[in-house]
Amino acid sequence: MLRMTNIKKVYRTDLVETHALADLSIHVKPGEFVAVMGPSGSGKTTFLNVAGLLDTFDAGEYLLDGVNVHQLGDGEMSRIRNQKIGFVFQSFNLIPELDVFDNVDVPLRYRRLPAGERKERIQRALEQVGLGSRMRHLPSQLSGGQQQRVAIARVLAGDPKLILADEPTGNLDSLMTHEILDLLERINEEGTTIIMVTHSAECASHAHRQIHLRDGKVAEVDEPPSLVRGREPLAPGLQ
Amino acid sequence: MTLIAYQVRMAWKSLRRNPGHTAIVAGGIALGVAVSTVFATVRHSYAKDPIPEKSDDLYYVRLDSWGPQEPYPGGGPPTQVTYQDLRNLMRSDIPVRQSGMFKSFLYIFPDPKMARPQKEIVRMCFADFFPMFQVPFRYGGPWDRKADEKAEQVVVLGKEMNDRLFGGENSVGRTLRIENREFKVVGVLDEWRPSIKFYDLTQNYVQAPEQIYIPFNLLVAMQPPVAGNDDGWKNQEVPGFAGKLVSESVWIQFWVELPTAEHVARYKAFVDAYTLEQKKLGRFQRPLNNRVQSVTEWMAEVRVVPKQTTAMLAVSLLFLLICALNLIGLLLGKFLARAPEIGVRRAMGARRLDVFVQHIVECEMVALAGGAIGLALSLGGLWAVNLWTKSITQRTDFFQIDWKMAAFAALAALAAGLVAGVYPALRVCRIPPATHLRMQ
Amino acid sequence: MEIGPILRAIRRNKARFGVIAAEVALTLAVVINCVALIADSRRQMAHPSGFDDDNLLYVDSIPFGEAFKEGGYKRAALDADLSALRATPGVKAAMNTRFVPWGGGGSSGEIRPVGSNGPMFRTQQYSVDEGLIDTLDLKLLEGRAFSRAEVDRYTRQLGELFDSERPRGPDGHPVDKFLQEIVISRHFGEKVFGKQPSYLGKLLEDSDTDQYQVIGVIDEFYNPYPWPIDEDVIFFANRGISYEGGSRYLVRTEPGQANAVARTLQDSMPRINNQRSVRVQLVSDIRQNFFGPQRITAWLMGLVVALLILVTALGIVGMTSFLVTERTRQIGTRRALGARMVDILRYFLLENWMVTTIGILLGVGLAIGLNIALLTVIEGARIGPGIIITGAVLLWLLGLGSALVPALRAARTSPAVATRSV
Repeated sequence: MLRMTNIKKVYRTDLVETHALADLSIHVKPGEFVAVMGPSGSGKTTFLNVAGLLDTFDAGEYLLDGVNVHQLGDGEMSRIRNQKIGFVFQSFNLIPELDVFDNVDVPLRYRRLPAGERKERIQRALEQVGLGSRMRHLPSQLSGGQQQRVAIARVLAGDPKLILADEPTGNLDSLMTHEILDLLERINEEGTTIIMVTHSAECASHAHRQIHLRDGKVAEVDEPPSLVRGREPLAPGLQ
Repeated sequence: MTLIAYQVRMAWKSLRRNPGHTAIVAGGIALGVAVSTVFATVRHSYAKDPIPEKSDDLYYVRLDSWGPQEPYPGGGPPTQVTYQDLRNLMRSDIPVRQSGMFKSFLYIFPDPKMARPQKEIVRMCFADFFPMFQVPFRYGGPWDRKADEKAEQVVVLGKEMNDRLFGGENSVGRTLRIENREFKVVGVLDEWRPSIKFYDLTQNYVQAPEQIYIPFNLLVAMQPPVAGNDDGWKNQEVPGFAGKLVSESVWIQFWVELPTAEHVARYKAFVDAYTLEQKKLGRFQRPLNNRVQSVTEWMAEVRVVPKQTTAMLAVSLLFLLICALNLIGLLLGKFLARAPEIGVRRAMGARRLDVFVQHIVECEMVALAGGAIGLALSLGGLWAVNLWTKSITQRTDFFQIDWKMAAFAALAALAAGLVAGVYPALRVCRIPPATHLRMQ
Repeated sequence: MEIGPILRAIRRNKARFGVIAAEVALTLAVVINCVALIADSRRQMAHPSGFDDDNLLYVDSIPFGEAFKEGGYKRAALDADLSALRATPGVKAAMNTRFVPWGGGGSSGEIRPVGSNGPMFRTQQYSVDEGLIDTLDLKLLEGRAFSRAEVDRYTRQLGELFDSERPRGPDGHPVDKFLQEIVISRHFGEKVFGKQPSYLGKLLEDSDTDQYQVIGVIDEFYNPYPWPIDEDVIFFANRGISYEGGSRYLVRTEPGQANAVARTLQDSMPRINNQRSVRVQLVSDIRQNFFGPQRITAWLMGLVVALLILVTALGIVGMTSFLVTERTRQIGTRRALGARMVDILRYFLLENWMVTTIGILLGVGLAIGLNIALLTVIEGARIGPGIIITGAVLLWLLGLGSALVPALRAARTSPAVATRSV
């Protein structure tokens, strides 16, 4: 699904050159649920930006779903983001002046789908996340967990192949955190590849595999001792 | 330090931090204030009381001596009186001062070394004219009532005329030939620039006052041409100038000074009684319709203020409003960018009202600065307007800023500051305490 | 096109977008009315007089010599002046008259049809001579003007009549009635007699019951007067000399020669008689002066319109920029969700267009309301659909142009803004 080879990204200012990503090589296969972890400054956010085509890179090769993204134009990159990738952000990033329906509608509009199809997809996605009855509410009228579920519905409505999640539960309490992670697991079980950036070991334990970043490159790749696909948090000794 | 003084100081610091932004806001307000002050002054120059100390004491007298068939065009009594009516009315001793007057156009023959013979506008009036209208003298003074009675050949010169004919010296006692008579100079005026020529609203009242004054009673001997309006409802029955004096032609302006309300009442009764008396002699065949009006009343009836100036003032006030509206975006940007600082202040106990007032204070400070610039700009604008209108007004000082207009500019600036600042200040004072303390 | 969501978002943010709509509405209303004022001024200035204004000169002879008081002398002086004027190269025609086109005043009198007991009609009235038609370039609809012989005869008769006191009868009117032939304007004829196929021969009388008979009717006449008689005039034959011997002339030059002839006359006339001063003015200058207030109004209103457009453009730029900056995060998110740069540009331009349209609709209503108020003060400033449509189009363009810069800036927002920490 995602194959990065020797990716380099450098931020230059007048005084300082920061190597945010230095020789990063990551391979994620379709259907995987991967957690990317690391201390602050390790390049997690930059990795996510590059992976999601939100930002460019300076050297190396990146194949996304078999397509080499080198030197793609902005229009092409936007199309890929729209159709193949779904984002879940730490601070939800819902548009405050739009209601739930219109928020989920946003990526569908860029896909130029007819009104009937859009409406169908939105309703289906909201039902999937359990918010079918709140279509005309504003984000300010929802709890944090509900807002993140709307964001996920926004992703689901587009039916992407890859979901990139940036600390999806960072602004939520433990109860909501569970809800969201369970939701992500269910989505992954249906075939969507998920790459989740997090600093919480507990969240990471929901993933199949963990990748640790340090100083812009992979430090170690962890496979948890037993591959148990289920809902319980994975801890040693539990089956 | 009081809270307001503290807020002024904070506002000053904030303004200094973004000098470019402050300059643009001040500039926007300056523009609006300049345009509206120019138009307000244009209108005010016509509308203001030309003689505030005495406008309540001076009254313009009109009689409806017009013909029986039709009223005078416009409906009311004619704007001037006939010669015989003037003579009869001036017999009354109720007014403390009174003067009939008219404009003539006479040849003057100065000292050939100073100027060539020229036809000039001359005002023929009575001695009372000068104290009535508070005409300022530089040298000498007006002639007295005895000179009126004897129709002495005396003349009062305006400052500019005296400069031209006598080089600005004290010319009292010197002679000046007018037509074929020698006149003795008895007085020279100081600079006299009433805002409008309120004593003669029948013609060209935006022009400066006349420069030559001689006694009215000389008209019988001199038979001068009438340079002002001269209307009649029937043809002169007797030809010549003598016939004019007994005709129904109206060509004389007549003012009386009535210091108290009681004087006014008595004089009005006198005028009406006179009219009724004349009716018995076959004149005044129209219904009783006399007027004894104060300066302001007469100005209002003549409609001195051109309607266009009022319309243009309204337009300019809208312009000011639009300028202020257009600054809202700028202020919103600046105020809301300061959200973190506001959050901190609120966390430390600033009430919503304090935040609101602080931002209003900041707005009004800029507004006043803009207002000062605008006032200066409007001086330039009025200088230009005076220049353009010179051919109409024959002067370059008709449109003047006085303290009333300066106050208008200040008020306009403050109002604009409020319009621009209220909404942004409301938005910013609603920022909850310390939303951003949990940042980083 | 996201019209639905944009509209819903605008409704939820009424204050912010309301500011832009208000700016557009007020600017439209004021601009439309200012343009109406300008159009009214220009319309007044363009009003034709029916004369050859550009080639007319006004010559004023102001005597100071005593000799001018004598009847024979001043008549001879007038004759000399007229001959000299008519003989000057470049002069097409000249006449002796007190009429000054665009002078802002003149002389008027009241007459009514003989035998009528109705009201008197006020009209402009001027004495003229045989040069009337040629000097003013008038068009005779019917009848004729005055011949030289007639002018001489009437001048003599009128002189005799008014030299001494006329004997009056018991009714107060003169015993010997006088009949004067007059040339009238069609407008006055219609006013007094109603629409008639011919006014020739019709008789009118003044308050002294002296009579006037119409011998000619001219088509166009327009001279602004303090009373509502701009198009009403009667001309009668008389060589007019003032009491001191002053006389006035209107001179018509060959096309384009007005300035040159004016210079010539200023030089030559005093030499014919140096007991007087001569003032030569171009009627086009007098006209220019007469319209001083209109010219100033047009100029000032033009300045206001220009400033308004500038100020509002800057204001819309400022407000839209603010709205873009405020929504940077949202823009990044949209980009992350797949919006191309052109989608973002289109979004903001569409949003701006909708707000501008709301403003324009409000503004049209405001413009009409403002215009109604304005019409109570200045009658000629009525607005029509043409000016409203032009104003609306102008403001649409203004809104679009102003929003373009901030919208382009929005489109350039990087998608990485979406993942930035708050």
